[in-house]
Amino acid sequence: MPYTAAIDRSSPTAFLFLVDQSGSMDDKMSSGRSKAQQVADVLNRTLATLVTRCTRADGVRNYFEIGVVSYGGNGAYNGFGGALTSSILHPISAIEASPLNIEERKKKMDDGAGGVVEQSVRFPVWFEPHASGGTPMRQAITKAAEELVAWCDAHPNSYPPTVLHITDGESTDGDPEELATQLRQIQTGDGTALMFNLHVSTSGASPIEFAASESILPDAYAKLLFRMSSPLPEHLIKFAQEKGFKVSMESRGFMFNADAVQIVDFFDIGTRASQLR
Amino acid sequence: MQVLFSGQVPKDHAFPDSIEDAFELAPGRIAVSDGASESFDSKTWANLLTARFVEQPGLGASWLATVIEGYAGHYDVPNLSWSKEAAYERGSFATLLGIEERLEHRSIDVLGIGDSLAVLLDGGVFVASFPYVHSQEFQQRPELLSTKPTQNEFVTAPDFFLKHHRTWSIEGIRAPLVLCMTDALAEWALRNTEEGRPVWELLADIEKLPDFDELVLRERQAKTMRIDDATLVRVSFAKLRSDELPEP
Repeated sequence: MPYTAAIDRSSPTAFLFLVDQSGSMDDKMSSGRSKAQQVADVLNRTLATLVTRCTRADGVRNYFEIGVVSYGGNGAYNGFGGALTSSILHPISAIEASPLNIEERKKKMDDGAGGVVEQSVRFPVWFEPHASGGTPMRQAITKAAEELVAWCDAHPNSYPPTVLHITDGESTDGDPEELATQLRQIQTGDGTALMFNLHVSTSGASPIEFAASESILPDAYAKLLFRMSSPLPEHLIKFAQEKGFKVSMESRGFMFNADAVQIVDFFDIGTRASQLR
Repeated sequence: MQVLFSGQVPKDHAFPDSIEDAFELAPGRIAVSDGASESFDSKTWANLLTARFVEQPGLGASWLATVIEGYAGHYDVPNLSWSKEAAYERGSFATLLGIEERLEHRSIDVLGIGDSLAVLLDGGVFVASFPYVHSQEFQQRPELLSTKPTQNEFVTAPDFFLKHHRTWSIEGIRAPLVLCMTDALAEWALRNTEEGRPVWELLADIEKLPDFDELVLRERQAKTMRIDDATLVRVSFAKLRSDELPEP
């Protein structure tokens, strides 16, 4: 059965984030922050959560390899800076060791006695918001596919890699569907690479979450992103259901017209690979 | 009570020290704990829980508070790295299976939190299991004891005792044996029994660690047992014959 390989230090899995940094990502969302800022914030929080999941008292265990491919006015490029510019994918211990900076933020916490206390927490930042130029989606998918072919060759028995693609507009360098289909054919012995697509919007239209059919989608662009998305594996269906989403066996890893809340859920569900050992 | 076998097989032989199961044996008491993989230090947490149970089995809010305090004493939190601090704040989680012999009543009290399993056998024949009866129950998310007090509220719920305790009478059982197992082994044992291949005699006959190791590795290789730390403790509660009693 695919997508059941246990994830351990000998057989890690990979998460590759594909982030649209085109000029329109500067538009403001309902939170008052730009789409680029919102996505950067959630991505940083997701990276911190992934690191935390791998951190034990004796150190960080390399259960995951992580990369970010950004695309916009400068084509498709490594989304990480600093010490992480040497390659796209890095073991999670390298991610842990190399944030660009660590901010102090306030977090409201349960005080265990029915009240709430504000506590300072350290918030590492790896990824900074940026928005300029067009949407070279084909370039980005090509770059991601090159990375994943090499990664799957090196990890033939691993849980397959997951691509989480965040975009707010149509490709400006041609139709990306065929390339997305090819990317989803890259595989390990445990299954084909997963590609999940999130469309971020400031339109205020109702979000569509984990659609199970093209027919309910409003336009050709939404239908294209649906077709570019992998069906959710069984354990992710279960996890999405536990979070309260209506999903079925036909649901795909796809959200349309997403606002801030959906971005958080998309990252959370998309990075729930099978059980760590 | 006589411990006949106790042993563990790590989930990854390349990292034998990373086993996150713990067990503790004391006269009349046994404790087994399975530390959850996604925890900051579930090994320490599981060890503290089992040690405390065999010393003082009355689990309750203050009992847990004492163990949590012991856990917190292991770390200098302000000086942890950002990731260790975040993982520490997320907490550590573990099951607790506790067995206490009631000599005067010829009975056994079982405490079961999470998915570690106790099985009562008569020789090699199944009599009862707790807290689960069916292998399918291992699919659910188990309730675990946490180092974060806010996640242990179920311990003070009115139905806690009802849900997490059983008393097994062993009066009339010819050869009472109890197996204590962590989840991968327990799920395998219940599933095989449901499919008409009971493994109780096999488990009741394991004498040495290499035999247990071989069984677990064989089943993992055949993909019939989930790869996880595996712990087995086998205890006899048979009455000693007069010639087996210790000298006065």
